[in-house]
Amino acid sequence: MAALVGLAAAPARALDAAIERGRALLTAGDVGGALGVVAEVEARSDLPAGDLLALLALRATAEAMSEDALALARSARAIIELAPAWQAPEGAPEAFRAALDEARIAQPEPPELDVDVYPTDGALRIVIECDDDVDLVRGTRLLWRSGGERAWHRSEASEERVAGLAGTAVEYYVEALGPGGVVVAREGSARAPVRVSIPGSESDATGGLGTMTPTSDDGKTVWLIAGAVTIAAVIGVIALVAAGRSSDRTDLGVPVVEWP
Amino acid sequence: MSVRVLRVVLAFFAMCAVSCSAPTDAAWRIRFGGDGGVVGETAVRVRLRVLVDSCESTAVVYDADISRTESVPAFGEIGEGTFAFEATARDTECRIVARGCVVRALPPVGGDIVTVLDAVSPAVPACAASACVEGRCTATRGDAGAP
Repeated sequence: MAALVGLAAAPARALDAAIERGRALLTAGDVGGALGVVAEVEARSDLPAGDLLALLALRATAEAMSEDALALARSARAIIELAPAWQAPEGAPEAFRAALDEARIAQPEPPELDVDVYPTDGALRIVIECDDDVDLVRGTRLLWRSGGERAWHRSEASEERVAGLAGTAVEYYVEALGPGGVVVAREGSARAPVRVSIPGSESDATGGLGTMTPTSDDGKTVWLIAGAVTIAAVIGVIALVAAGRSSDRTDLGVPVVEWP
Repeated sequence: MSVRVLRVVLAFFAMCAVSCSAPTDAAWRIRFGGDGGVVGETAVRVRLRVLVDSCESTAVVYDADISRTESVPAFGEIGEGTFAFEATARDTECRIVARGCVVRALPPVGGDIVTVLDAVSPAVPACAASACVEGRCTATRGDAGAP
C-alpha cells in the first residue's frame, strides 16, 4: 500500500502538510478520510502551485480505490490537462493508469480565459468567461487599478464595471483559480497587465477616479451573478439565432504595421 | 437552478454561439503613404490607438507603442460601435513625423481597416526631450508593481 500511495515523484521540497496527511490516511486504508482531506485542501486558497498535481493524484488514487469511475475519469483528465506527459508512479492502481491513458486519448484542453472589454458610456465593462473542460476552475479573480494607483482592486465576479474620468488608464489582469486557489490560467499579470482606457462621457466628468461596482465576497452571490449572466447570454444567443444575424463582435487580431 | 446546470446550459449555447455567431475577423493595417513613406524612413516607433467614436475622442480602448523590432500586442475582440483607428509615427527624438486616423463602424462590412500615415510637417514633439529615449516617451510609462 505504501508504494501505491507514492502518487508522484517526491518534490525537492516538502509537500503540503495536509497532502502528506491524506497520503498517510490512504496508506492506512482510510479512503474516506483521504477524500475528506482532499476536499479540505481544495477549499483552501493557499496551496503551493507545485503541489496541485500531487493533490489531484491523491484524489485520483482515492477515487480509484473507492471504485468511483466517473470521479476518477474527471481527476485523470484534470491531471492530463495540466501535465499531458504526467505518468502515474509505480504501484498506482491499475484503474488510475487506465484513466490517465483514456484522458490522454481525449486530449483535454487546458483552462482558457476569455476576457472581453466593452467600452460603455463613461466606463469599461470587463466580462470574464473561462473555458474549462474538466471542472478544474473554481472561480476567477480580476485585479485592476486605474489612474496611476499602486494598489490593485480585486473582484471575483464574472463581470465588473470600471468607471472614471475619460481617458483614465486602466490596468488589469485575470486569473483562473483551481483547487486550493492555485492559478491554472491567466490573462495578463501584475508585471505585465493589460492596458485599456476609460471612454468619456459628460456624466463622468465630475465623478471620481476608479469608481467601481461594489465587489461581493459572498461566493453564493458571485454564482447568482454568474447565473444571471448565463441566462442573459442564453437569451442573447437565442435572439441572435432567431434573428439570423452574425455576432456583433469583431476580432481584430494583431494589427499589422507595414514599415517602409 | 444549480450552478452545474447553469454551466451545462452555458456550454451548450456557447457551442451554438461559436457555430452560429462567431466574431467577424478583420485586419487592421497601418501603412506609410505618400510623403509619409519618405518620412517613414526616419520613424523608429509607432503608437497605435483605437478611440471610441472619432479621431478627436479621449476614450481609448487600445493603446500600443512599438518599435520596428517589437511585436504588436494582439487587439482581441471588440463590440459593436464606431471606432477611430489612429497611428502616429515618431523619430528617435520623439517627434511625431507622420500621423493617420480612420473611422470605421464595427463589425466591418468588408475589407481590411487601413490607416495611412501622412507626413506631419513640421514634426511635433510628442514629449519633452528629457523624457525621450530612442523615440519612446518614458515619462508616460506607468508603474506595474506587484499587488
